[in-house]
Amino acid sequence: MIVGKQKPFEEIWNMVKDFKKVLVYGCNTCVAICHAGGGKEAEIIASMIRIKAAEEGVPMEVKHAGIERHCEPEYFEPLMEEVKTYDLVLSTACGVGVNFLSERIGNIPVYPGINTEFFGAVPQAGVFTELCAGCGNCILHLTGGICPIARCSKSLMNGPCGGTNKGKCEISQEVDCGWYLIVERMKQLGTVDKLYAIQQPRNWSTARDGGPRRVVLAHIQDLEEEEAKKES
Amino acid sequence: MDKLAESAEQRSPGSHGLAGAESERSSIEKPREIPQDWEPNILAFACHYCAFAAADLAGVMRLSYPPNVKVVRLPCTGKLDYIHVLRAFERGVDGVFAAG
Repeated sequence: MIVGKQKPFEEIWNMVKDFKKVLVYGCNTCVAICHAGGGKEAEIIASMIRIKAAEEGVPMEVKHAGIERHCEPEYFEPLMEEVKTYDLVLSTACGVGVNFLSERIGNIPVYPGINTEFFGAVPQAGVFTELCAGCGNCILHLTGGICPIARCSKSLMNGPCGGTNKGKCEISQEVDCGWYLIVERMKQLGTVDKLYAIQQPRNWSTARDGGPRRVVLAHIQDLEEEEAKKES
Repeated sequence: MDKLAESAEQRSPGSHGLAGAESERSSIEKPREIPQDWEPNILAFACHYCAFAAADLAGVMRLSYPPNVKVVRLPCTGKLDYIHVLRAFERGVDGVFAAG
């Protein structure tokens, strides 16, 4: 899931203080799980803005709402007419949601209420870890199910660097050495011999380096077009 | 003086360490002078099974408590949410007391 962190309140206040009618708009999927931007957090932020506005003597109408997903139009379409009555939407969805809503809302600005961090796992309540970097060319079958791109600080492909130290990375004692984890896991699986194969320089064009990415499922598009023809 | 207070002192010389740290965080509410005859408006959230029962018993015993305290009964204080506290502050309550 997408992991986000709420922006400091001061930053949020500076974004919203010049608007008269503000909607704090939560997304109840990923960012709700990481307690950053679900409907509940949107309600809390809206309340904090109202308290601050009253303190500063700024007349401001602040409401909140939450929908299941900001990244698919059918979820926010039913609320769109109401959303368009506001001067500003402070979206607490991830950056995807902010972009997506902003493209569709017309002349109303959509500002971010959270910082989108990464997509990660939840090893325990309140802890979120980055395990995959979404590089577009998965090699987890070669590395014991542990990703060297996300878990090695240098994204090395052929073993650890000299900075590995008793299973930890040189950047911090808090960070495990990704390659140490890979080797230990492959020992456990009895597949260490796979590591003798040299990985060639990687083609990063499938990752962010190749520019904004897009996946198109042609068969689904064809079905959609057929449906549209039938309707018309 | 602990390290936090020391660093706050360096950032805002002359002010009290903790107050300096507070202003760095810029709380939502501005500190104000408190008038001498001011009485805070307190809202108490009480658990049905213990604190509220105790308040009930106090009533049966004809004990009185100040009228600036209002009690809201909850099925359990586990029901108390951030937003209940924030809504109380929005409506002008000065302090919230959770008992359970």
